[in-house]
Amino acid sequence: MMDIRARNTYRVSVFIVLFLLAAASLAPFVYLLVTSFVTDMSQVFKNGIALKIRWDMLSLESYRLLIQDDGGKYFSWFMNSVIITVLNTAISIALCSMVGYGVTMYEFRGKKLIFVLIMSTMMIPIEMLMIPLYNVIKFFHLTNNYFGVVLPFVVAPFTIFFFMQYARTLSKEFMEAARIDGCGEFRIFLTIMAPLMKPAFAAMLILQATNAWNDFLWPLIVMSSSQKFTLTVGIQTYLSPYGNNYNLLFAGAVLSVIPVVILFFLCQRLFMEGIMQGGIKG
Amino acid sequence: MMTKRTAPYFFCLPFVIAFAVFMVYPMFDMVYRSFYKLEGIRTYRFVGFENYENILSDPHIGNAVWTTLGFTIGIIVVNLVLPLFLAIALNHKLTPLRNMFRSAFYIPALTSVVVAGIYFRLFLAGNPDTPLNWFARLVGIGAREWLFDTKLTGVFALVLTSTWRWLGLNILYFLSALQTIPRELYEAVHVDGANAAQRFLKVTLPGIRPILIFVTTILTYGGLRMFGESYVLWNGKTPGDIGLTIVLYIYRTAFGYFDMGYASAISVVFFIFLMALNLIYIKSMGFLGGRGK
Repeated sequence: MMDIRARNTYRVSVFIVLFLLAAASLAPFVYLLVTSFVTDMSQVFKNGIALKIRWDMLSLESYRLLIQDDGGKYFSWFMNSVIITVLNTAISIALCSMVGYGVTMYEFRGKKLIFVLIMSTMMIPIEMLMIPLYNVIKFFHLTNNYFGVVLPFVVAPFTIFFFMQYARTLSKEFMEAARIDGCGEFRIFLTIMAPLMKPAFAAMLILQATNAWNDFLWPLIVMSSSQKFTLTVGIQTYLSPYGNNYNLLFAGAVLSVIPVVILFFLCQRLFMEGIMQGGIKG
Repeated sequence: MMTKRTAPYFFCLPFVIAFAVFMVYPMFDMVYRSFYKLEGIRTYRFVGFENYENILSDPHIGNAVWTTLGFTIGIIVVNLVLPLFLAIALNHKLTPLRNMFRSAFYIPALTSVVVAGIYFRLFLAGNPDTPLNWFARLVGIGAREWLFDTKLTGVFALVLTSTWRWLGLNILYFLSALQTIPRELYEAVHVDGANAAQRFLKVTLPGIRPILIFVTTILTYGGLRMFGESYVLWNGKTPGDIGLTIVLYIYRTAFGYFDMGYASAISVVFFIFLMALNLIYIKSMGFLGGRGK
């Protein structure tokens, strides 16, 4: 084993490396946060990112402008994002856990085919199907509608895949025992097997919620009226060919990050546990 | 009531429906459109394979393929090596503040590509006083406008911006695999007098093989389908198509120039390439051989 000096050298050197990388990881947040309080944004862009900030340059002006902008438009974007995220996450987790469980726990004709299809869709860049997908949404009259944003991506192959991986660790004996007790197949899933997959649910809740909250391209295509924009789409409109509104951009970006960060810290332990247990095992 | 025989079909139904409506139909639609060309404002004319022939003589395609492949290779190398070593450090029981660092690396994964774009456009700007240009002068490369210098700096910008958001999740994947390696294995080779490098090659790498394949695959497809970072960093035409990826070019052709036929043709070709890659991947995972791990 290592002697005490070697241990301490290891601890100090690894700490310095991790600290520097973590600082680089978090620097953008600090930068965005501090800059969002700068009153005169022209300062920022004269100096690029090397902005030297003094206390007297700071105020809450950007946030005041953001809240008042166009009759509280930012607030409706915020609510749109919340609704879309909740709908997407709830439906997606319910359906994907069903599929992942069904494919893994049963032997049936077509099992291999469904498996290959799930794996294949996982690798199709959905961005390529935007044009025909938009036509499908238009056909169902779902443009500028929350469900138009949510439905095409709610059965997410990666989420199914994660539940599949997790379900492989479950024992089929529980199912047999429940069947002998006269329990129906769906009730077995709902009351016996699903609770065993709790960490997987937690992990996918966070991943699905962050993805839905941060999704950019698809809401950009489906939502054309500015009242219906999500946060990501709305914030991006502050950068326009007719002039950039950096005050609103920075303040809007900061506020858009806060909800997911709070959600993450609330579910952090379950999330880490879920990812750790559900990942690909040997 | 559902029986053991019918239940799996019920459970798989959501996937089958979604697959048919949002995948199969759009794909047929895409192939159909690839044989048509927009004339005037709303009329399409059947042109056979003309769209496909145009791909061969389109200079943007070469540029986009170059950037996409360069990015894919870059992101695979950086996002295998960096997260793996960080995960090993975070898994070592002597490392201080492990949980805090783990969260610190994951937090960027919570943000949107739009937020990443706001920061990295400024970080990669040409001003000689930015931290990046300060460092570049220090090591003698010289300050430059990273987003508009060459295709290579464009790829660098894409890799850097993507790594910021992708790193944390990859660390978690590697950590989860590292924790499945039994401690006794390390102790056994330690007794045999193996040094750190030998322990890494003989125990760690074989122990995390499945997750290495998984992460490599995610990175390959994430790289090939790159759109978001490219869109928010450049958001418009660039000299020599710096930062133009295949998917961004398809998007621009379809929604910028409204040439749905040509965009569909590029998509179809790209799609066939991805599906071939996909088959190789599924085979290598061993799922179909019936002796899956």
